[in-house]
Amino acid sequence: MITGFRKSIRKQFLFIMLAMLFLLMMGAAAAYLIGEQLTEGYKEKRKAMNEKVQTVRFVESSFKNTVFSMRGYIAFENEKELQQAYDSSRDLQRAIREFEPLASSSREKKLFTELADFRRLYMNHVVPKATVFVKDGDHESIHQLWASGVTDSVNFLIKEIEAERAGLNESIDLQYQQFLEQTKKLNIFTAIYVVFVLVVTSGAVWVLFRRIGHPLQELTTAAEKLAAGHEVQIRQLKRRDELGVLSTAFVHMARTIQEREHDLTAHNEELVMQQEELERMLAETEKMKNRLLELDRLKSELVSTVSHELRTPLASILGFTELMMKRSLGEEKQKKYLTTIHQEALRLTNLVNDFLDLQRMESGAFICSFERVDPKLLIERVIEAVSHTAHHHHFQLVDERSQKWLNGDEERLIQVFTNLISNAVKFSPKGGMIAVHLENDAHNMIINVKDEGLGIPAAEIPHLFKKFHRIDNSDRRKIGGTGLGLAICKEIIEAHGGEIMISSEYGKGSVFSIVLPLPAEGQQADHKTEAN
Amino acid sequence: MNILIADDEEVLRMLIVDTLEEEGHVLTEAVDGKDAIEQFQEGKFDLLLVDYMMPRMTGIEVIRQVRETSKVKIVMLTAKTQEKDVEEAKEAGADFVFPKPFSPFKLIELIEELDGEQK
Repeated sequence: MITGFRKSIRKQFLFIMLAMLFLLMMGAAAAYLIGEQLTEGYKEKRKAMNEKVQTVRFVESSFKNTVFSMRGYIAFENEKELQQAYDSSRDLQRAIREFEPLASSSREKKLFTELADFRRLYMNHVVPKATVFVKDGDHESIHQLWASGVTDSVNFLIKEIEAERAGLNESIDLQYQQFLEQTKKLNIFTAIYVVFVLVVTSGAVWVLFRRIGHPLQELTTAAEKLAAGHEVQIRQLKRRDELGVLSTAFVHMARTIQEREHDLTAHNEELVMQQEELERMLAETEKMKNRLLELDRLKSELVSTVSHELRTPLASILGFTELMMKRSLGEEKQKKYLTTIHQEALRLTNLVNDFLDLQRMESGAFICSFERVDPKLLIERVIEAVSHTAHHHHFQLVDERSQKWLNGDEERLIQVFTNLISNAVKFSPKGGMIAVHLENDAHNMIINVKDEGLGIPAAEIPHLFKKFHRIDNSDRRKIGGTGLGLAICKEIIEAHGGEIMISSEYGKGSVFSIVLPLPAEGQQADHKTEAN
Repeated sequence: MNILIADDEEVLRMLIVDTLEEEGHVLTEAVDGKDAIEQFQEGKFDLLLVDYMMPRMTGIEVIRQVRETSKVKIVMLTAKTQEKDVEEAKEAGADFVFPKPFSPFKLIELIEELDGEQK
């Protein structure tokens, strides 16, 4: 992944530094050269000026020597002075010749011309004439000659030469001032240049660091977010330096981490789901176990109860038969014992029958054969049968139905009605009224069996349809029964798709209600079906 | 002997009363547990015959309550013959547990035995 950087930050930095050095060196060299040139130029000018000043001084001295020697000659008539004047005149001639190429301004050129003219005139005309006048002693002529303009010219030229010398000195000063100023300008320019180079370099370095710092900041933030487990969206830097490589590596890393995290999350979810499934299965198993335990408990309880229920009539049968066998009894007692034995044997038979019946119903082996029945007719038959043994009770049958046909198992429904009506008789006092009421709504037929008996305590109602459940009241024990009747009724009514309910006010009587579904419209009521 | 018989089954009470009266015992009937306690407190008895399963108050509860004040002989008559039921009755204070169904003459023998012990 990490390869050579085409534009490495180090190289960029090195480049900036080298560029800075190069520019600084170039600047220094240029400043040095320009300074040298300035100095050289100044020196040359200064030298030329000095020469010119020398020449002018030479001109001045030779001119003055010439003129003053001549004056001395005239005043003292000394031949040596004259000779001196001639020598100086030659000097002056040489000086003027030297001065000629140096005369640059028009004033200097004019001065040169005037000097040359004056020397020529002075040496060729004034001096020879004056020599003659001195030799002749003609002072008047000399005086006249000088007064004719020689003195004026001499004075004028001396003034001019002195002015020239002063002008030259001023020029030298000016030149020096100019040199100084140029040097100063050069220094200032150099300083500005150095500052400029430094500023540019600093700017470049700053830009370079900014180009590093910003992406680094972004990467840091992204890394922190990634570490905190957040989703990271980071764009890859299209750069060819270390940061580009770092960015590529980081994006690759982030992508790998996020992919792994997704994998982990998916895996984790799967695990959680598996665990939930396991827990669900465990709970189901636990539920199943509890149900089995409960069933086992119920079974033990049932076995215990059944054995108890069987032993009680057996105890009577066994006891009375033994008494009859071993004791000599009167005829009346014998008859009483036999009746009791018969009764208990019947009770035992009923118990076994009911128990087997209920077992069959509960195990699903119970089959109803449905046909078209009118419950009213069945109830009339039941009342007829029951009233034979219940002479002290009154029966009432009220029919308020609009529908009279049901799909039902005639025999089983008779079993239910017999059970409910004979119960009502058993639990009602003598002279009590047993009222059966039939009605229907759009979907169901409702049959109520009402007695004026003891009623049932509210706490007992939920247990009423359980096997072998008898209300904890000694008055009821005398009445007998197997304790299975209502459980069987419930099974039969439920097999018909109906419901059996009870409402009771303790001490006033009970109402058992059977709700049976009416056949759907158009359905053949005599259509025979089977249901469990 | 003065005997109190507590059983909710009328037929069984009749059997026991007929069996024991013939032997010269005096019997009083109670139709359930509560009745048994009331009868016991009113009369003076040498022996209690108590059924296990009775409405309002079970035989075990009757025995426990009687044992709080009396050392009278108690026989429990029971259709529950599992070992744990017998243990429960003995713990409550029954002198003997007599399983249903039973032979009336075995019951007579048992009562004679208990009578002998008492004398």
